[in-house]
Amino acid sequence: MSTSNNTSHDDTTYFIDAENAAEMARLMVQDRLTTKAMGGLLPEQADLSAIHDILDIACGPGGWVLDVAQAYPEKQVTGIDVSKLMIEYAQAQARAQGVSNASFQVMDALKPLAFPANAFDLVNMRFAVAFMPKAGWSPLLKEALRITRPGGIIRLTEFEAPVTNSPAVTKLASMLSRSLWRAGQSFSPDGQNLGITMMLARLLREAGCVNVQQMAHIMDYSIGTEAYASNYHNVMTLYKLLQPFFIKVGVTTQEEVNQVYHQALEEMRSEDYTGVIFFLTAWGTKPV
Amino acid sequence: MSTSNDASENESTYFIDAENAAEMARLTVQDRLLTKTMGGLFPLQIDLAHVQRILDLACGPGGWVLDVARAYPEKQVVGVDVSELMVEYANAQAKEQKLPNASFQTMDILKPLAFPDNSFDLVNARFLTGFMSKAAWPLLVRECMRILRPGGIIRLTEFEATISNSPSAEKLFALSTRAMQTTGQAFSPGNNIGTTAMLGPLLRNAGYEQVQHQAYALDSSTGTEAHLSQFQNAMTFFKLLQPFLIKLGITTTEEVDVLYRRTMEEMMSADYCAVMFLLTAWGKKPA
Repeated sequence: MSTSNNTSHDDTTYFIDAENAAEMARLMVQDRLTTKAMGGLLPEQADLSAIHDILDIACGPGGWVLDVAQAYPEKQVTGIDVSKLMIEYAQAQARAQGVSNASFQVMDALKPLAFPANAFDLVNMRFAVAFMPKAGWSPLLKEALRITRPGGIIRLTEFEAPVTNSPAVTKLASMLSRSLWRAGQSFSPDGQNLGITMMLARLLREAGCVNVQQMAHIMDYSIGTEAYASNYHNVMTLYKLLQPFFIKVGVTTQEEVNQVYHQALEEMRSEDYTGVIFFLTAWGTKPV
Repeated sequence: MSTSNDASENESTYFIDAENAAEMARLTVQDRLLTKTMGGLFPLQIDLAHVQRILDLACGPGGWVLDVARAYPEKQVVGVDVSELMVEYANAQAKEQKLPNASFQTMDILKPLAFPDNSFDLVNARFLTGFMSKAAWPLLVRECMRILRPGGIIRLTEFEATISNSPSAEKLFALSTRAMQTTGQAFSPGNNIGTTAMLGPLLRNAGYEQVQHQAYALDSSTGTEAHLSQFQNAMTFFKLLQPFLIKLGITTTEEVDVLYRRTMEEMMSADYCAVMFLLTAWGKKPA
């Protein structure tokens, strides 16, 4: 599947072909980087004793679900994703790793969720900006509230464009922000920012969550850091796979994006390259 | 003082008149908000047991220094700032609040610091982006290395431009960032200021060890505790910034007046959402 409308089986809004193996590999790397930068799987949740059933929406290849399931063998962890490829991979991983408390299902987060009411104690979703139309947030969060038990938690994590001294990486990030804006997936008024982090608390409150809190995290992948090499490959793959999306929504041409892409790779290898990404996790409780 | 080079008595690079009372009031409010957002005066990971002498660079009206002096009566806390107005105010506050362990001096931190080698256990600096050129950062970080005792801690806190759903505020933030790019103060060529991405590399390149960091988000959306004070903060900031933007030629009086008025309205609207990301980074001088 992809963001393009040219294939008949395809109605997802994800910004990269969701059945692409390179994207799956990239998401696995990104998942590890993110969990590390955030200092853990659920770093802001002081007490997990009341949490038994956990759902991860848009779980991709299942890295977070498998890690949570391994860290907490007494909890049941479910992952859903629109991609059959990713779900099959995640299921195979759960089997291979002997993780019996993790399970995965193909499910489109933009449609009503095939779970009964009050089925989970914690519903997690990260980086939904990649597929979520502005108008999709409210129905999905209402669904999330429906399937969460009273007193349970809904937890969202999103990011903003990287802060870097590389002009070409900045240009690519700007293409992403403007593309998401054109695709109707950004709350930024003009697309100059990714424009999702500032909305998370509001969206949770509007859906009916109480006691909404937030915590910021940062990933430093400047040259010389531990995250540098993985992030270099992540960026390399991400912006290769994003090019059709950029061109389709009309923020660039193939010639221009090729040139910027190669310049970005070069600038990322320069000895004074610096870059950080800010993440924001917002979480709220379903009223008892 | 201001960024302009036309006044002979004036060579500070701070982009707002540093001797302005409105700016002093703004900094006082901002200081409280910052300390609250960051969950306290120091990150929890910093061990203060061996910290006796603390220096705050560009302390403004001295809010942080006074708070630290009150919370830790056994420690000596010194604040320096280029503004005589702010330092006088801070000294008066220290007297009034009976904090003999807090003191303030006028000092331009863009010049060599008038402190002996190895004289502090912790050097703190927040929000220097307003007056630091890119080239000034490595020099200052090296000066801090000199005045810190071996094993001493440097701690820097900077911010990026606010991200909001207000069209006019976004334009004003973008103008401010462009102004900083024009004056050589922004490390990023895009919509970010870029200082946060530099803190870790700056400290590592200067030879500090065990460099760590912690991110924070200041949510100033309508309905949050910070909304009103960030609104006042932003309105004072943008008013004081206007002459600088016009002088740089990146906007006109007419354009910025309209933007300013619309920003006020949009920031007070019921659906205004905004968040500002901050980064604090710290490292140790090798023992």
